[in-house]
Amino acid sequence: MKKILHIVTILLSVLGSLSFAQSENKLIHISFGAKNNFNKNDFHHYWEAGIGFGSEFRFEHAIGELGGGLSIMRFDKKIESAKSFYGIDYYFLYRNSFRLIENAVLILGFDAGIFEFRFDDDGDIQSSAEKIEREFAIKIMTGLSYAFNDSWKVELTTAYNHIYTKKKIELFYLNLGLVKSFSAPEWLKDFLE
Amino acid sequence: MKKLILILGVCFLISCCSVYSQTSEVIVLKSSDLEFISLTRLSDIYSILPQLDLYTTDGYRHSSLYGSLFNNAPQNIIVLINGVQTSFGVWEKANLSQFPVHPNSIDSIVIKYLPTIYLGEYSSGILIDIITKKPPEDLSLIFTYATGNETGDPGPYRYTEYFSDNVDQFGPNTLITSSYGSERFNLTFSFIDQVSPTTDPAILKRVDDFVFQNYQVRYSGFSLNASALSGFGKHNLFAAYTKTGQAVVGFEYGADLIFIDALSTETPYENESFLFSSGNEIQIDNNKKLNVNLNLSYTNAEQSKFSEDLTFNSEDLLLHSKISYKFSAETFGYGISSSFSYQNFQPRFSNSSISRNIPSFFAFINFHTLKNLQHNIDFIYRADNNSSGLFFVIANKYKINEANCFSLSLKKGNLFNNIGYSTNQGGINAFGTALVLAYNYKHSQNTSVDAGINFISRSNLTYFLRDFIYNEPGRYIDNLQTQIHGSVKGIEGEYYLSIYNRLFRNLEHKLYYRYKSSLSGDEIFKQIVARIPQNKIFYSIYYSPFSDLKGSLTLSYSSLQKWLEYRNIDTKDGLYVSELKDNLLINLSITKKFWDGKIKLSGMINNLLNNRIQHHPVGGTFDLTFFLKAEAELESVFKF
Repeated sequence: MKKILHIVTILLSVLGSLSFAQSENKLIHISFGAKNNFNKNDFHHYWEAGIGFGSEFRFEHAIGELGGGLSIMRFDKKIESAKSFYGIDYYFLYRNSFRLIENAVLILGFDAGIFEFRFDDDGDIQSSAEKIEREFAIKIMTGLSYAFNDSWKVELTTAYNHIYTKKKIELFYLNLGLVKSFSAPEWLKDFLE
Repeated sequence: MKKLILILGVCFLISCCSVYSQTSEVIVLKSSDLEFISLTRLSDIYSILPQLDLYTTDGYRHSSLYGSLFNNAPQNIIVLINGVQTSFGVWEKANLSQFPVHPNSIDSIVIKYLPTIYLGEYSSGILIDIITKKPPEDLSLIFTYATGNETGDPGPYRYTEYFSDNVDQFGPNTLITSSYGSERFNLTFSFIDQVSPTTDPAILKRVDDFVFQNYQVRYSGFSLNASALSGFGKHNLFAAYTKTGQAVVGFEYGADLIFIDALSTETPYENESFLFSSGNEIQIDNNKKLNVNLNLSYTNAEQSKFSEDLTFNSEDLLLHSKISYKFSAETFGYGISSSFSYQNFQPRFSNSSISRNIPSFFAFINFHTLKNLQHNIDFIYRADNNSSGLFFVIANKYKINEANCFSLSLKKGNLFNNIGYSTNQGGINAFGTALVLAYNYKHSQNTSVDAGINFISRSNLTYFLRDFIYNEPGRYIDNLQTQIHGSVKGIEGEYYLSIYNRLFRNLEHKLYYRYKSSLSGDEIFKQIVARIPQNKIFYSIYYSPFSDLKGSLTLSYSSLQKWLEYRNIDTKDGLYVSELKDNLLINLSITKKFWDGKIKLSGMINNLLNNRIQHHPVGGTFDLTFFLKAEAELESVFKF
């Protein structure tokens, strides 16, 4: 009970502090990057992760950056009975950044979405339902972003991914990406507001 | 104890008391509440109604914990639309998830949860009145698509030694509403298509013999809601067609399920229902009104096309008509109404039909004895084929000043069945008395406090004590023996405290606490009502930091529940339990609007802490579930 009250108090403080006026959505960010899974746990007895690729669409909002992302990563089986699969992660994202030095910012973020497992068909899959599994997943990420130009940035981030399968899956990633920023055209700005 | 309560009530009534028809048990949900929690189906409102004691075995159908508890006093859920009864439900049970109204077209929902009389309608259980919005001018469209996924799937481990069954995927739920609005005439057409999973291991564990077609329930519903102003007054019409089993859209079949409490198992079936509810208010002059309501419902339920269980086949026709006269002046009002209900319930397996004529008479009077002291008396007499009974409510409201208000009401009479034919109700009349004390303090527009004490006494109850066990080899739930307890009586007491506060312009939060327990009565009564959680805590935050972003966080705590008839049900795998441990449920919802609110995208997470949540000893467990909802709302897109 004490814990709950504590959480509620923190939440209220955070919510209260976010009570500021809305600024206009103006900048759009599109990122492309590569990622690598670097941790080892039970999951890695069965599968070995390859290099993954991903892309994100983000737009500025008074609360931070909001948007969506998609990534794909190959997982090859290490034991015969398991199945290799492509892990496709599609998610909503939230990012907030804090300026460190002139062109460098610290990024903190949270993703929530679906992690899809697309299994290789070795000829033993009997129905399409057996080919795909989906599960809810969240990510917490942090990293650095460096603007080397008015509209281009490079991002180096690390993320913790929790996939809510019955036997939970926890993956850590290292991401390196390029971000292109531009002003939203009027119609897109209207749409996002 | 009972005597003391009655004496206290009578003393209070004689000495000063006040009167008011809206006592503390009334809850009004506004459309903004629905928007904050972002409904995927109508029954999601139960998640913010801690006042109601409900159970669900699958998260899709909800029943009152008192619903079929006592054999001769069923206290089920009834649904009204714009104050007119709908007789919506199959075999006593109204599944709110399947009520064919788009949540966005609802203005407010009125809920009463103690035996009551509401607009001349009697309810012994939970009454839900859905008040629809006046649609925007000219032609508008709303399209909603929602889907959800319960966590706990095997994922890639399905091809390893960690294999486990897939768990529930909710939806997709598709809702399309088109409306036309003008000054004198409004028309709303809605279509709902729902898919609900039947893959929970707790359910599959006991109904292996049934073929669960595609492991899903398919439901489609159409409704037409029209309102018009004429020279005589206001007219409302609600007509609906609902169907389960074979989907209207697509080819997949999914039998509906009904949980039979007496058997503790599901029966797969399919049904077709027609509803017609018309409410007409004729203004005689400034003070006098005449209301003419007509409600007709027809439900045809059949066994699932892949099942051989013929016991469920039935046709149910209900006709309900009511005429009311009402006089209201500033400090005085009265009204009388007479209604007639006819039911023909035809179970095909027995070749005999059950016909009932239910005439009833209702009267009310309200008056002031002081400027700030209001009294309301409601009275209903109802006759059935072989029994008749009375129920009355004396309600008093004393407004001390602008900030403080005190109310007390006494309800007493027969506990009738809410809707039509009951599989439970015998010929013995059960009686109920409720004493409801409430205090309301309104500090400002931003803060209010509600507190109250309710005493509910029930007597002459019949209880069938079953002894359910799980038959492992047979894979079914068996009832070892039934003991009949007659003339059971007991008193329950509850007190509650509710605090509402608007902390900032864009942030409001509410806290609700309730303690409920049996106070006196037979030992068996005390054991029976141990299924009602003694302590309930509910806390909600609604937050809208920007005009295009809003969210809610709700916390619901419910204490231990002990189910007497399931005392020997515990299974090794933990799926069936005799005691439901206390649980904490946290739900989160975030909605982002796009294009000036024309498009909305919502993400909802139910059971954020992924606690084990189970609402019935043999019901499913609800793990963390993620919902996604997309909505396009195009108001006044075409002008005529």
